[in-house]
Amino acid sequence: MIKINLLPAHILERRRLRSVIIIAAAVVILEVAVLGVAMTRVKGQLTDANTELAYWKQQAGKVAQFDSVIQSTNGQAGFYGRWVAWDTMIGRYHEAWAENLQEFARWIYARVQVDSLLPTPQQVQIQGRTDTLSSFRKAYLNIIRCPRYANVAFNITGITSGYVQGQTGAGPALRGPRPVAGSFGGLGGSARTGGGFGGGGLQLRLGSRAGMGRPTAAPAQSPFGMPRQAPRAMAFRGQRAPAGAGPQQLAALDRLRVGVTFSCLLKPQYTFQLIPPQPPVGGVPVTAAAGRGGGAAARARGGGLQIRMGGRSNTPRGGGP
Amino acid sequence: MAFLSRITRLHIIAGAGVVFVALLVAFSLSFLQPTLRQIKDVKAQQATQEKTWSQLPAKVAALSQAKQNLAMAEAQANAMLARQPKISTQPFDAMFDLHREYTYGTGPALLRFFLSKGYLPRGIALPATPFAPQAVPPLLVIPMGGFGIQARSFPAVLNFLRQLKDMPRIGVIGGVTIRGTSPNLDVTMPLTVYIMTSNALAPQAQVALAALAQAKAGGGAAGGAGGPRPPGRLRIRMGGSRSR
Repeated sequence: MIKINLLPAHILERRRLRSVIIIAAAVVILEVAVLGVAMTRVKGQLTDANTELAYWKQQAGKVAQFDSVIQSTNGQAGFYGRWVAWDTMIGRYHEAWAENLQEFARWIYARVQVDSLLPTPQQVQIQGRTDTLSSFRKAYLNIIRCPRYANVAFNITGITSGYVQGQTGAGPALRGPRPVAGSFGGLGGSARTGGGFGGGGLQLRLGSRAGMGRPTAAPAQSPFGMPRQAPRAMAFRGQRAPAGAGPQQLAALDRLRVGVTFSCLLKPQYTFQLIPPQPPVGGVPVTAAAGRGGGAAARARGGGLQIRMGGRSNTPRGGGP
Repeated sequence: MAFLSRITRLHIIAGAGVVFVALLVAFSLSFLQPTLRQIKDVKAQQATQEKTWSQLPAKVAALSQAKQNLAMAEAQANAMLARQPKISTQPFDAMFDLHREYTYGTGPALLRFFLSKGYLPRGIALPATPFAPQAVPPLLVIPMGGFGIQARSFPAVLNFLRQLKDMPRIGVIGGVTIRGTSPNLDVTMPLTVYIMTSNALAPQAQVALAALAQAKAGGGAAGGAGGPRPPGRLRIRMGGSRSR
């Protein structure tokens, strides 16, 4: 059978176009539908993520609360800790004083009789006497070996140098006051009446590296020691003095004619050991106003407090212990 | 209609393609990409929060440790406070407490302490107390000036310094000077006695201390004392020694 299409060509073409348009429109509509679904899903994902984020934010907030509580607790502990640390530091500070004094004394030559030891947080001043300039030299070479000192300056008194015609030896004889057992100093250059060149005594003030050679003397085993010739009771060493110092002992004291003063500057790391620890809060001195029960007189009588209230006196009976 | 008669299939397919692509591009640029970026950000934030949350066990442990530290420090500080003489926090009562403490407490206690250790002290003197009620600071400072002891030997001096930790009051010495020769070593030093009042551990003292620490941290010039300022007619000197 033969099938004959009698439709004109342009009508046939229009029909084909219509179907193409329908297909194209369907595809576009389908695309819009797919995109709509995708949009809904993506929005859903965003909502879910935001919900989860809100949950985790809430949980993390709890951690932050913990942080806040921990910080507050640590702050409170720190407050109490500062008081306790201060108390502990005071103990260490007093111990440090003992340790430092021991260390200062350790490097004082045995043939130096120490008359005073005056430490401050910055420097230590040691005054003493020895018998010869040679002993001073050893004392100096000892003291500069102390690891706590940054610089050591010294001062020598009590001997003369120079030359005076008609006199032999290093200088005139010592004419200063005789030292008395237990006295402080006693052999200063100013007390003497020396003559000749340099009659006022030898005064040196040099740095710790004054070209005196390498330290050779061993540190003294017993610090506040005495020259062998002197009575031992004169030393810081601690032996009890004999009942009375005999002429021989006093004569031996004459040998301690070289007065020495060492000014030792402490290294910075050691200065802090001797600075008193400060309390965590500033303290307030509470004392009576001057002229109102205060002053030296009141201190001498133990406060001298008198309270009169309502005509009756409650002055402590017996004045206190 | 003449216009439609000139449209071919190719035109329709091309037009539909353009619309298709334009829709895709518009969807992607205006919605998909920003939203995906937003989701990514939210997830990143979430990860951060989760990480923070994962620190919770450590935080719990840290809090427990902090509480232990607090309890220990508080106990130590309270023990320290318990060793202090009782000074009332009420200004009127404190006036009498101060008088009692200065006159019968600290001075005799120090004297007894030094004598019990075998040292004869001299120059222990406390200033008179004011007879006017005044606010009680957290920390009382009693500047005693210099006092001295006689020691028989240098080791005895060292021993004395080491025994100062057992003083019946919180006392801090200043520069120690040693003069003389054995057995008459003359040891002198200034002594400052501190007395913690019950205000010392009070919350207001904590606040004052925190403020002081903040001021110091901020580089500001901190005041000399953390205690409350007394009323006008009272004579309290802060941080300095009293004039004579």
